[in-house]
Amino acid sequence: MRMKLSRALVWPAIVGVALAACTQDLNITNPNAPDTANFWKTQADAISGINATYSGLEQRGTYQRWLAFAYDIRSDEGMSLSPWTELRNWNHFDQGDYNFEPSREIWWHHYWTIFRANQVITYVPNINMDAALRSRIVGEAKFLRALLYFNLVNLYGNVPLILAPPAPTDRPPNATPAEIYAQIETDLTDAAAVLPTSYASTDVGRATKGAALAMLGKAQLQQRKWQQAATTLAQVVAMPQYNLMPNYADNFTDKFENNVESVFEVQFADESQLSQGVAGLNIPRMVGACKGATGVDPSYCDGLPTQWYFDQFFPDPTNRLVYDPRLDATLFWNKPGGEDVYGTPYTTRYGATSTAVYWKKWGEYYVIADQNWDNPINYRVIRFADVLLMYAEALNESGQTAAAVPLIQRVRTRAGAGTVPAGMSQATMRDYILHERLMELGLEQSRWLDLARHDMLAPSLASHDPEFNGFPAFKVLLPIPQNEIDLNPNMQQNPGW
Amino acid sequence: MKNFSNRATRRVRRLSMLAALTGAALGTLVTSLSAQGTVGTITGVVTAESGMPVSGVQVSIVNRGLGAITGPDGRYTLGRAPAGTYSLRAQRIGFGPATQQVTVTENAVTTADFRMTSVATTLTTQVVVGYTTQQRRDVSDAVASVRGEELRDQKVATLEEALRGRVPGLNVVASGEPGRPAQVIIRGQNFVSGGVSPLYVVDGMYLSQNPNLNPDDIESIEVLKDASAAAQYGAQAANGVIVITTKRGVNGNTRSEFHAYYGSQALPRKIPMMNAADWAAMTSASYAAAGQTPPTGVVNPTVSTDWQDAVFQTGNIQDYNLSLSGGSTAQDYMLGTGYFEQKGTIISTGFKRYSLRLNSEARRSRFTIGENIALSQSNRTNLNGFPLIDAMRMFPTIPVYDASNVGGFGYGTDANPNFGTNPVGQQVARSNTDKSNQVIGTAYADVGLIANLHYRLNLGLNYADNFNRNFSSIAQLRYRTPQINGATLSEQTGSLTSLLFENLLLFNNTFGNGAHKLNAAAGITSQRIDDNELYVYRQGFTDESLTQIDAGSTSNLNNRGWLIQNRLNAMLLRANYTLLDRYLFTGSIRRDGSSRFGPGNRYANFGAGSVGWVMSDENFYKSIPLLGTGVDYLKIRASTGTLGNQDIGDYQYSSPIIQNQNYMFGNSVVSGSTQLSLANPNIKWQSNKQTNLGFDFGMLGDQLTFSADHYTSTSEGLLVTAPIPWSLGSSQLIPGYPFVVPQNPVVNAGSVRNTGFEFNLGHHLVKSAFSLNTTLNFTTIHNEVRSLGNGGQPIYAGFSNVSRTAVGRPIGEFWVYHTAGIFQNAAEVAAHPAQAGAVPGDVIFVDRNGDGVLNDDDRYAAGSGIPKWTGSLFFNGKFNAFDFGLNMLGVHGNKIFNAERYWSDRTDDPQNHRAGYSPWTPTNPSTTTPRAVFGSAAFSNDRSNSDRWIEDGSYWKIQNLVIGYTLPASLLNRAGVRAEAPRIYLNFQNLHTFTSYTGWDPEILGQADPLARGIDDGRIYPNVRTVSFGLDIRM
Repeated sequence: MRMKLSRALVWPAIVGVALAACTQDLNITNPNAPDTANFWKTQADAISGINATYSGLEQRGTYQRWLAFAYDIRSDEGMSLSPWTELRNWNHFDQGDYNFEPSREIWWHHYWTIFRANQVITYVPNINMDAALRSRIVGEAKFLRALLYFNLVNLYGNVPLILAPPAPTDRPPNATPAEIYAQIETDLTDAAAVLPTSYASTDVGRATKGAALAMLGKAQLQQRKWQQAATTLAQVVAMPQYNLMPNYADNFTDKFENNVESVFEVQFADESQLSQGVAGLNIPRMVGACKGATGVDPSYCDGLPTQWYFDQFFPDPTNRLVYDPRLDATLFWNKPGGEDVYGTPYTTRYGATSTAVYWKKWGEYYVIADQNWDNPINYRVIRFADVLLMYAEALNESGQTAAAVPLIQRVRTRAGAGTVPAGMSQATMRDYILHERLMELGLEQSRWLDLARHDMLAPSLASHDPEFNGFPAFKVLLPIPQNEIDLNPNMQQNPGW
Repeated sequence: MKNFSNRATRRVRRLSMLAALTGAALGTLVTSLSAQGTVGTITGVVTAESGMPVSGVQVSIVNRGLGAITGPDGRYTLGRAPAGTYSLRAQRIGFGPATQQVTVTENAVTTADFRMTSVATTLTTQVVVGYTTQQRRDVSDAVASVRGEELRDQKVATLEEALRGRVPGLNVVASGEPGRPAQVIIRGQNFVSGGVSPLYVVDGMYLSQNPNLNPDDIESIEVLKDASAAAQYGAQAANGVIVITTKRGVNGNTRSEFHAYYGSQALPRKIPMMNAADWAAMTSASYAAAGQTPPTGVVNPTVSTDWQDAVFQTGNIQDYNLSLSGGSTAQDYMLGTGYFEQKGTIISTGFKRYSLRLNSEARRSRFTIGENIALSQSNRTNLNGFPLIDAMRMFPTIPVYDASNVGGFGYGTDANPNFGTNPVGQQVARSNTDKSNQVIGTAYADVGLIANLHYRLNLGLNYADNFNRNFSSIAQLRYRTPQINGATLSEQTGSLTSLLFENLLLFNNTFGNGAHKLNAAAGITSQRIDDNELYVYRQGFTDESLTQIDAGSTSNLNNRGWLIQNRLNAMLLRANYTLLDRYLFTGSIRRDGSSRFGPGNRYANFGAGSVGWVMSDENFYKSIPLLGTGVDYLKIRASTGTLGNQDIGDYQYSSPIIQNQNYMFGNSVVSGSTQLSLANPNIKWQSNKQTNLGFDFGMLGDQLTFSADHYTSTSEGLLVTAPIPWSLGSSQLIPGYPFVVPQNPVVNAGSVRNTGFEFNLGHHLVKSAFSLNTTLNFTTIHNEVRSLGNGGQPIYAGFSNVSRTAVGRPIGEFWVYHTAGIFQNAAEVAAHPAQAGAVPGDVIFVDRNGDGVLNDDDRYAAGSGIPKWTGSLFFNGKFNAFDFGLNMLGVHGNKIFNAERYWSDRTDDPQNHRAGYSPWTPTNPSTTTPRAVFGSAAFSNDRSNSDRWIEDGSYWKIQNLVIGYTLPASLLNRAGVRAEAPRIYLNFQNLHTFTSYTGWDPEILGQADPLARGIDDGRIYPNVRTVSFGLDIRM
């Protein structure tokens, strides 16, 4: 009886305990990272979020790599004989795969970074923090968003305009370039109103009021809103902190970064810092000097300057002794008197009679014998020299041709390039400014925009850049990546593609 | 009690009457017979050897079509038996037939009792249908079984290999890669993201991945194919369940077994490629056609490398197993040890496994405790990169080794511009190894409570640690791609611990003199899975003899660590009820909760049921013409139910904030964090609705068996990482890499339906010294996407995005440009305005939508990688001391996208080509191969996403041929060893493949992307041909 009693108690007890142990808490949160439910709450989160947005500028499709192909190598200042067939074809405007890497990555990395900017713009205003800092951070994000949309509208045209963090189910439609430009102008106007003109040393590199205005002027110029552009750019020219560096070449090394001429730079890191979540510039590794017969292999040689571009530096192409001095900071060539190309004399690498020319700008030829993948040179998105030339163009196009002259002269004087001829007509001045921009801004992602702005992207360019042979007008825009068309019923492909 | 039973019996009789009515039309013969001549009655009781009455026995007059069936008391009554003397036969599945002579006199009662002897047949074998065990004849679910002894004589290295071709509806896609599990898909593809792998249940322990068991330890495998069988595993069962029972000791003396085999392995096929001279001639021509000067290496080849010879080798396989087992009424045990080793057929690949198993059980009165535990260590040397594509791309003019290069490997140069990676260097200079220690086991305690009610506590453990080590030496392997970071080393170590905790109440009893059998399980079960990983990376190893983490440079080091946790709670109830041995009912319900979903979406209910009717046990059955006399056993089954899926990875309902998105300000690094990926907080369980209709029959006294099933499986609310537009900006980091890729959040979107037929035909013939078993399996698969989320936009995947998953079509159909031969002349070119700029010799593309423009809108569906049907034909038998087995299997109706041929046939980019590759020329008017031209002019000819690269993937394989000989027992006895007769055998695996496919192997596992099946993408490891010799000794 006693035994039976104990059994009657023990078994239910064991079963009861066992059953209780079976029910566990299913509320498991991710132990590896914070999630959206506990972020965007503090000032530190706001700073961290805007920093991550800048970080988006260092991706291949933003300023690290591909924009140099889209804006420079595709234009008549550049060409491609890349051994990578698809890349070579892409630079010849021959693109079968609309998702091909540069097309795809420019799209990806711009929209990824826009997503980051949109988070800041949406969430930071609700954070309880220092009010001035809060509006500055939102202003920085708006500057970055405008910069990214400027590239997208110029390269792809009718892109979706996304202004807040999306839901996975969103299928945004094409926006018109006019709508995109309107948003760019709104964002930049907002940014210019709240951004400081300069930063304390630990924050140097953030977007300033000057950067926002210069970008606004550039956007207006690209829309041929000449008078508005002139008004906007005049404000930048008047800002006391901007000037030209005494030496033109100092704008393209890591020695004088964030200098008086810098309006906005992407802050690249060197190889030793890669593990810290930052990146270096790839452009010189992709399009720099080819290997030649000997020495190290400084670049993949995927993009080259055109012979025509090289010739532009010479007032008389038959006389190789007289040339625009900016050539020596822009290209490697068989220079009378010789020149080292990454530690090896040009003639040793390419032969005594070689006429080959290679991109030099952005390279680390001055410190190393090879070119690292990740190069610490900050990429100058807008220099003060560009602002002066844009202002000059805006004035000329608004009928104030004479007023443009001193601006251009300032740029040429610094370069040691001589005097601007007096008494040019508006049309002559237009060509003169375009030429000046070629000299000043080679491999600085200007040429494609210059040609587009003046409706010059046409088969006629084939006379000096055969890649434009039979160039159809629709190829002014890249195809929208096929994936975007396949996945979004509200998206239309660009006409012609 | 007696009263109850009588009432029950009466009720049951009424039921059986009802059932009989359904067969009434066929039963009219009974009436017609009763009207003629003088009649008497035969009655009697049928008992088993034990004296217990046997129900459901058919007692019939031989050759008269007259019969009766015994009731629960074993009694039958055959009224209206014609007067006379004849043979009366008693038959029941599970017993040997018994016959006696009876003499019936008019209007008299003749008594004829039978005592029947039980025999083992497939219908009496026990089937472990998850939590309950039934006799095969009582199973109404779609369950297929593979017995350990079926595998015994044909040695296989893996569990999947053991299942291959044996079970209709189960598709195994294997590769020759040592240690790599095959892909196992049950009944088509149920969902389009996450794994397609079924749930494995080993001795009660749940395993979401193939458990890498030693096949020698397996007693039986049950494949639970329909919802009714699988619903007891509710949330994890949507892909089907494979229940594995391992061997135990049996009552008797200690037995020991030793099994060993050794084999040689080689690739069955090599693709003939051009030698240096032929290649140089063709490549010079293709440069000339483009108006370009060929590189100097092309003009003057100095070496002629056969890259396949450099990459492939003869491998081997060896397997040794020793086991001891025994038991008494109070306990049993089985101790097994094994060693398995495989040297790959691609250089520097291989696999080794050491295994140890202990299964034991102790019993005392109503208490039973026991455990099944397997320990194993595996070491695997992995395949790196895409060696087979590289073996095709590398020029024959590049040497394998080149001492002047860093690391000593040959690769492309300016003279031989080639962007292939040296595949030998890839395997030799990049070492990638995995080592894992694993414990899989369960411990259980079982207590008999009252009247066949048991309580069972089941504790399961799966512990697996892993250590991956990936060392890349400084060697350069690709043209213009130096190892810029010096030698690099990454190591990842971690451990997965999965615990299962189950409380079960089990009931198994028979009432009413056998009229009612009830077998039920109820339980509460929970699972707890933790995976903790650490990853370290170093570069800049200056001295390559020092290859440990500490010897690396501290610049650009990378250290990571993470924890993945998953919790599951469930309650389950399953019952099998058998009425009068012929009406079968099964029901399961299960409620599951998973931590993988957000609050409010965590719990879901799953349930299923099946019914079966053993029609051949009915009284009227014998009187059905043809069927009643020809088919001894006939069972009809139907089932329906809902299963779940949660296989989406953890933490998917929220978006993490990703740190280390840093930047530089004022020349210092500042930290950045942000949300990169988008998440859908409302994701919930996917459900899978399945129905199954089937029948089983046996003829000629179980000599011939046949089963047929038709299934429909429809998944709703698929958990899909459906691609979203890139413009939404969602991205994710790839762990261990510095780059970011687009991310697609998991959504419950869409529906996929799989339907098909499954047939299994078995024949068992025994003629004294000769026996032959024949099995024919045949499965059809029809897979259709019924809806997709994201507005129904198709999902693209695979090499060059050629696989498209779209509504109304099968998963991963090939979606490519349509080619229509080669332009032979200018007139043909002129007739195709959509191809402006083409010249004779170029590929003709069809402007399918006729809009005059050739673009992505002209792609079409060119078949899919999913076979329309699969089949297998197995023979095995014995003749005196010889035994043999022959297994053949095949698939039909699937296509393969041959990306390797894309690489070797394209002329726009420098590659090697197949021997005999014969491009179009005006004098060689090929209709299939375009002109050879280098560079962009050839671009559209070599368009990667065209049907030029699609081939028929059907094949028929001689999978296994084994010939064994059992040596005379006296041989060992003479040597003083008391043993059964030892057996020696010769085994050929993958002996021959009949196919028109031109690649290495039409059986393609590739990267096992369920959305891109059938792409031969070069990351393949062809199945190997094995010739092995083995020995089995049992003592």
